[in-house]
Amino acid sequence: MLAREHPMTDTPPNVQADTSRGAVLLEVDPSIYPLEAIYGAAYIFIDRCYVFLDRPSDAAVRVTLQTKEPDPDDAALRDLVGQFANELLSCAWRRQITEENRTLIEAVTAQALAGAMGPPSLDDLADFDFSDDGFEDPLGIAQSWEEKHGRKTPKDSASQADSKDSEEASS
Amino acid sequence: MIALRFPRDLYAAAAVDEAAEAFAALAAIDRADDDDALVLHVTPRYPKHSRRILGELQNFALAKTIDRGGAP
Repeated sequence: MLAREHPMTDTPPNVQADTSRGAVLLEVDPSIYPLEAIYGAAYIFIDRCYVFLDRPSDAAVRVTLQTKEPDPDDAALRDLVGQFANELLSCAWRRQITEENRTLIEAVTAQALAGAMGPPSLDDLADFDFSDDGFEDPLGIAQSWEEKHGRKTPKDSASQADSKDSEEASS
Repeated sequence: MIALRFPRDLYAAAAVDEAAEAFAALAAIDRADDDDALVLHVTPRYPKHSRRILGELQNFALAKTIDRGGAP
């Protein structure tokens, strides 16, 4: 299939050079690097080389990177495949992080969209269901300062005075 | 004439069609699919630039496939 294919020196066995076409071929295991990551890395390299995907077997995706300049040297091909491998790893890792944080991202996005819809109208507030029980407040954090430490109301003062009078009368 | 084989599980058929249409002015392109791949028989109209035409056609098909969210 390829006119001249040989393993590059100092590179992993899944990398081959096709110097007659100015191309380098990289076989990727899709069980390690998902197809979305391969697509992501390939898309980034489209502006600097010709990228072609092939499937030599069910357990491999072969990425062919062909330089846009006709006669690249070995160093340029080695750089190209090394940069692609780095980008591939980066894309795979970013995809995994996105998957792990998908629930959080969706929740934040939903809240942002709800906030962008503006404040609730009076009708919305009128229809709002307030019947839920209040949250527990054992330390009295939700109480106002007046409720907790403030002056006694006239009603409280009167009841206190009554209790004082009754104490004096009994003594 | 050069045959370009785009594996069906890696390239979207609509993207390959779009690439063939976009490059019709630069190459004579016939589509002849087989079971595993979408096959384009490409004859560049400018032989001097055939490497570039074929490479850009491949890039176009891949970019359009990725834009569509990958192969179906």
